Amino acid sequence: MTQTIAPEQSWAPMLPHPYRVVGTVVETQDTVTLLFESLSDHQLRFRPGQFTMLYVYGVGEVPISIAGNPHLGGQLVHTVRAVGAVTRAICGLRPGDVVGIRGPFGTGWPIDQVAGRDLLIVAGGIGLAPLRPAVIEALTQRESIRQLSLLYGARTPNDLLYKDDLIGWKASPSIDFEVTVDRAHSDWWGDVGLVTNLLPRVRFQPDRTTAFVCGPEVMMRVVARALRTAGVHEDRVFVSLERNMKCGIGMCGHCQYGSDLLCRTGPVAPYSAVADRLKVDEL
Amino acid sequence: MNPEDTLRSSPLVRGLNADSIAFLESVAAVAEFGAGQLLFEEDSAAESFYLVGEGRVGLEALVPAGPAVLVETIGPGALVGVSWLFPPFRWSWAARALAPTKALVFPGEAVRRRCDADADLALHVYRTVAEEAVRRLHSTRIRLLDLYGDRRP
Amino acid sequence: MDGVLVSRSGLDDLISDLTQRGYEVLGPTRVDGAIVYDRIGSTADLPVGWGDEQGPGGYRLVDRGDEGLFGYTVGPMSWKRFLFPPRQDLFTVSRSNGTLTFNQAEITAPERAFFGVRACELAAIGIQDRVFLESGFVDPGYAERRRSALVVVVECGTAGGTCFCASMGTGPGCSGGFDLAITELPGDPIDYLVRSGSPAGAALLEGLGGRPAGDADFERARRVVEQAAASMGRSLEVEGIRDLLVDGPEHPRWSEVAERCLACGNCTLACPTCFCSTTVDRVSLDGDAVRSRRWDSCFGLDFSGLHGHSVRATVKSRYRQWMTHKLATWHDQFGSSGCVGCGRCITWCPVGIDITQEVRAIREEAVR
Repeated sequence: MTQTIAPEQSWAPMLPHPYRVVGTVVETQDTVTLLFESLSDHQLRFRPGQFTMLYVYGVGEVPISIAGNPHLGGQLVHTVRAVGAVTRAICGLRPGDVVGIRGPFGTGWPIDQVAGRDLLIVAGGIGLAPLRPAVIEALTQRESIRQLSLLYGARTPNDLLYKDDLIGWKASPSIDFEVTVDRAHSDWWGDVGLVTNLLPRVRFQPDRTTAFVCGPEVMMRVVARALRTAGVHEDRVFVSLERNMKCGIGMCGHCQYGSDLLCRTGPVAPYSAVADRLKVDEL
Repeated sequence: MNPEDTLRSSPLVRGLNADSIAFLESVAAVAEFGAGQLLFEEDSAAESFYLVGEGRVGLEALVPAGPAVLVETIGPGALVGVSWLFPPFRWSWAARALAPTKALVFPGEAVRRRCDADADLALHVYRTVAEEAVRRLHSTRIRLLDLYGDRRP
Repeated sequence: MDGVLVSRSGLDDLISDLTQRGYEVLGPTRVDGAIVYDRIGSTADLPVGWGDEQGPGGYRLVDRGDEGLFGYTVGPMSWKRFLFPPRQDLFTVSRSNGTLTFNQAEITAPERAFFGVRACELAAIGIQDRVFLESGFVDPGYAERRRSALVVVVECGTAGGTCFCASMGTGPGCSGGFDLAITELPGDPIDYLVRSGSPAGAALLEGLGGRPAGDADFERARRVVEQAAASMGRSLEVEGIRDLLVDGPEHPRWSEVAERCLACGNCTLACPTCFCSTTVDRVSLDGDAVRSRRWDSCFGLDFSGLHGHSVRATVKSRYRQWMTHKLATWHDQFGSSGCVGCGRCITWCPVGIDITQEVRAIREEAVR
């Protein structure tokens, strides 16, 4: 055949690299944060919002958002909630265990586009995990951002992630941080109610605000609409979507979301591009 | 907390005529609560309502054989209590100050009677309460989906 | 374009020539009542004198008893499995020295001649080329197997019972993208016009006997193809189809077709462009772990599994996903339709769902 075919490539993007667990933090009854270090010369440089494919020997592989500091090379951080066979196995890992990591994949939060603007970050549940690197990055570039706010909603106080970080952010003058839960007991120091209730509490000027929103799809929809009502343009609200993934490189078809393959043109997308699709059930 | 500022910045009086504002100011009193102090008990007579000036108030559900569960927190500028406006005029929830709190307290029956005669006041009161109730209804329904829970709603 | 006119023995010479050059020659054969692609050694291995009758949910072979070599259309199998294998090991994992070692599996790409590729099938290969070679990640196995494949097209003389390639712009004639193209010219005796479409094809053409094809021969071939196009019983209106389906996820037709669809996935198995796959991790007790890639279908309930539930739990959502992807969002992803009009999904659907009819129904109700 005279057909021009691209030069031969290997299956490299499908081959995991060995990483060892060096530490674990039990966040909640079903969620664990793990710290990994590379056992080869593979180093992972990532943008906040990207994910890896995490392989557990003999069990399987799942996509997991990267939750660590993008400036700290040498250590990979993942926060994992046990919802299936592979994630349960990951949550059971101990220091010394070795996994396979491939990546990073996907689009990241457009933190390079927020200079001179107000940045409002809204997280729901485990949605705080892919946003944590964005918060860390924003604090690193703090002088270039005008107002920086973080709103975090969880089910109960026991379900809050990164409790040490929360205390630090609450005390920091560099970030306005409010947290709410769906329900609590009277010893709770924050709010009870929907995360959108916190919007009037933080300072942001809608026409110069960029928002990063991550959480269950219903929550992202509700928050995006509340932001629209408040005057933030839909092009400046970014959400992170999630679908089943098998390859992470745009070949297996599992992560399709309408026209998009979320491992390629997602998971982060402007709300304006997905607003219609977020209204369709079982898409 | 400045009682006048607290009242006049509330949506309750925005656009309300001067006489009605004066009435509200005349019947309002300042109430102070220490952290942990009850404003009212569940199922007690709903005789007054509060407008929070400083602090935070939580609505609690009594749960048998366990500590009370917070179902809502209310901060400065918001109303505590809607049951005073509708029969049977009993509180559905308990309200407790979660932090040192100062609020304006209004006599429920007196305001209801004034509403019967003062259409402008009635409109403002019912509209403010309705808007707040709708907002809390949406918030509650979404929490009902238990989005952060284990299973798909 | 160069061409020669040969008789059936000329095609035997071609198959021998290919075999001697080291190609594994694959072509249509009759197995278990269907046309499937398998090794052939000569034209005697082809379904000589056989034809097929196809309709929604129905397929059977018919013995015409004549000498025609290619008087049928496509069967349940496509050429997909030879370029994109149903099962393929990707790597092995061994656990030792406190680490995991990942070893890429070998890529096998035997030299193969695809003898008897229909125009729709060639179009389908072109579509999968875009998926596996031109969309970012290049599938190295596909690239190798594609490079080692020699394509001999056969132009259709009759339209199959479920064919609609003409309306999809993918056939029945073929003007390029092949190494050789054969058109069976009916008559007594039957002639074969063989054209070359590449340097490799030209080299093979030189080795064939026969006489150089003239204008009259090309005209006969054109008429054969025209007749196939004219006898097509189905069509799919492609104008505006992308927006029609993308904007219509709530169309009532989806619920209607869901009542018939079994979500069996036959259509995705038979379809020459469907490319979805999954990864499977196996461990053996005494050896390493292996990851392999397997064909997968969006009709499977766990295809869209997320946190313990399926995003597309209903059959309605899965049928909608398949058809919308095939005819609409494929354009956004790969710059063309995903459908080549081969009719396999209609023939091999156990309940006879007809994609052309579904499109027609959606259009009609949209207009109302």
